[in-house]
Amino acid sequence: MNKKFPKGGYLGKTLRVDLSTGKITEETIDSKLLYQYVGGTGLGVRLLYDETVPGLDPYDPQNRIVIAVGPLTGTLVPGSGTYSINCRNTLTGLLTSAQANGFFGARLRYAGYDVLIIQGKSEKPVYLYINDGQAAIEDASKLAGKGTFATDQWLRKKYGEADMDHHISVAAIGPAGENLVRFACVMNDRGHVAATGGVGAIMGSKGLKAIVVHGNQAIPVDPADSEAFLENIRQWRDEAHNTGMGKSVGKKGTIGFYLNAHKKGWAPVKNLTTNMFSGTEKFDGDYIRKKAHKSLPRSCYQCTFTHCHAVQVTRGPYKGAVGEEVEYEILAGFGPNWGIYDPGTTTMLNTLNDDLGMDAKELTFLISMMMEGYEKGMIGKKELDGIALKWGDAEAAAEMMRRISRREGIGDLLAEGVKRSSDKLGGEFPGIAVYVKKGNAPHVHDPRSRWGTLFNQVVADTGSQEAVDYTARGSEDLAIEKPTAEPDEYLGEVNAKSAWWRQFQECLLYCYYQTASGETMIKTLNTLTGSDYDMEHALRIGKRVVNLMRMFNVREGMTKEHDSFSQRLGTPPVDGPAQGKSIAPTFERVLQAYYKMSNWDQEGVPTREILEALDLGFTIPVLGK
Amino acid sequence: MPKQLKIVSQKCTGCRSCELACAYANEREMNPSKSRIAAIAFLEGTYPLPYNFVSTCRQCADAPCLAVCPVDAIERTTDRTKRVVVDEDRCIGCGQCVGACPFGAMLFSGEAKKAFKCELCGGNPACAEMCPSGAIVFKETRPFYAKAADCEMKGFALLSQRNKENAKRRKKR
Repeated sequence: MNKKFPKGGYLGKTLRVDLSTGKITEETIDSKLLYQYVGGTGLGVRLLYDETVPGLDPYDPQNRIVIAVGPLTGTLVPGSGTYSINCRNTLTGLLTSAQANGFFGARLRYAGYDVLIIQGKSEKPVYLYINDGQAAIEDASKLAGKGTFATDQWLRKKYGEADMDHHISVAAIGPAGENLVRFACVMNDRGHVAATGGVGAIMGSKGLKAIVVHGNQAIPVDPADSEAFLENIRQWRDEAHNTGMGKSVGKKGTIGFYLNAHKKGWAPVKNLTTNMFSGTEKFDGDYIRKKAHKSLPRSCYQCTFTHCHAVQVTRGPYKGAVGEEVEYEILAGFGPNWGIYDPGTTTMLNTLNDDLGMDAKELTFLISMMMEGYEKGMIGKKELDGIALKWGDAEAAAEMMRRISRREGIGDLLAEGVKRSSDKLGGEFPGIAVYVKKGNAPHVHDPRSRWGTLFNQVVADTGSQEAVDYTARGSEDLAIEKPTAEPDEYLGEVNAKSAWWRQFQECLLYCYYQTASGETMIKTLNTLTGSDYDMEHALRIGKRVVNLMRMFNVREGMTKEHDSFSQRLGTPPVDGPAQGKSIAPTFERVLQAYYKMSNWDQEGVPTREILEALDLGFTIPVLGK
Repeated sequence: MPKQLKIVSQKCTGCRSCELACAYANEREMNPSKSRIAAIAFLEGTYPLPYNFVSTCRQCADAPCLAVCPVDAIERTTDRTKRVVVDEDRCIGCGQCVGACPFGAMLFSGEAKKAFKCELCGGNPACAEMCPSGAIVFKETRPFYAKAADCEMKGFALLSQRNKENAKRRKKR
């Protein structure tokens, strides 16, 4: 570590809020930790690891929520409003790490902090107001039961930005979070979501309805490097436009992915019971943006793309509905996966879900499971409290979503998520449920022939994606020359390597779609903070984070059994372009190759040697258990 | 024709790159609150979608700030930009120019107790360079004369109100 580190980029301060005692304190972050973990997800997971009491229930007040940003957050780096929430995962009981774009991360820094740690539990609903290095816990009883949009509106008005957005950000939970729906999300900046692992339910369990950030603090930049830093950012912004992502997401949003994915059999249809439907032309990105909706750009902080849009539906049964433009996963999840083939309907459902505050991936595979069960007579209208959950019935789905968010009737059972619900319903339900074995639904794909996506989520320790899907392409940065076209050992090796790189990127925190070359990103970071990283060092940081995530889960009792998938995910598609393909026959080989590449034993546990080599010696006592 | 900023809010994506680029260029701070340009999203718009609004000094050909300054501290440059600049040495911090600007583009510094504004970064505006959407471009354009209708827009009213309040508060501090 260079003696001058860190010379810029970090505010170096943590705000700790204890909701049980009402005590608010400020702490300094150890610069050695900053050097080892950079920031964001890495730093967040490290702080969480240190402060977690093993074996607790996710809703135990002793649990922490660690919100962290990186040194580049709030700078001119593309998508620098991103932040990372790290806490216990309500679905798996293990770790979760959820990131969201928008503005919140940048404004947390302008308010004065790199890290926010929330602990304890308030008896009454409260919200947290952080302004220029001052924080206060405020009464939120007027916000109880309100949706995320109304919550945002109420708080903005209170702090002087009525019906407008300039310097204030709000991250809030909806009714789902308050009612401890296990897959409740945190919504920030009206439509940006930290979705994975029930982060919203954890907030709800602490009685925390919202966090407001507002401030005028500057991100420190060493004056000697200010021009070089800007030059590197310019290069980053240029490069981001010229990548595959820049040319696709940058121009058409992620909805532009839909048809390509569908053509390969990678988009889920009706709970993975088929891969075919008619009317696919309505799922063309241009059609959705220009014909099915009126759209206005509403980008995240420092976005150089025209990705996110605010939209209004212009045709179909929900003409007039407004909201954020759906992303690929929502389009697939609230569309064909529920037998709904009208893009405008997905917008209506997306806005409702944003307001209630739930994770779309768990929700889509939950409702699709119930729709399949209803069709096959596994459950009747009576058991569903009078709701006929037919394929394609958006009103029925919407009503079920509302009941889940209130934990009302059958909604109370479904609020437990796909795995728990299917186990409780019993019968044939476990056989049709779509989840990975740690206990969460995967991202909204039909991943059964998309090896990179499936394997990545099966082994991920956070309940989301940890690595990069190279099923269809390689990577120059990582010297991955050919795609992982088959479910073989190569897939396992690539998954390990790409996880290290991806997790390094999650320590930086920026919009993942606006990735530049590794060299440019590392150079930008070095110029700002005075670090001396190169690609090899960056991969070592990523590997440190991946190993620490795994050790968090090993400490919680995770076994090899958790690195697997539900029965449905192992079955081959019955039709369409991916018909007959499955990872199941070779899965164990892929898994062992992944473990080996990671320097883990055959049970998926890191070895002492690798932990020591990665400065994770403090986790070794866990192995002795 | 003078070379100035042409701003078309309808093209804005709302990324606020202009604000941060401005603050960094002029104050060497990654801190949007120090910006001389404002990018605001109005959440309840006419569509009824949210819409973006971007505003900074228009370098008015009939600049009211320049006319109202009691000590002639505000003048127009003679170079190709024909921009309106504040001479810090001459400025007495009376704040009259802040009140005179219908666009809310004249700002008041609490530290220096002087007026300041967008001066096109000396002829190479950082906001236009960093704007990814084409909403802000630096180009030869007809001299700008304010129309009454412009000044009634919600965004301008909001900015000028805010600046007047800030100036009042900062003068006292």
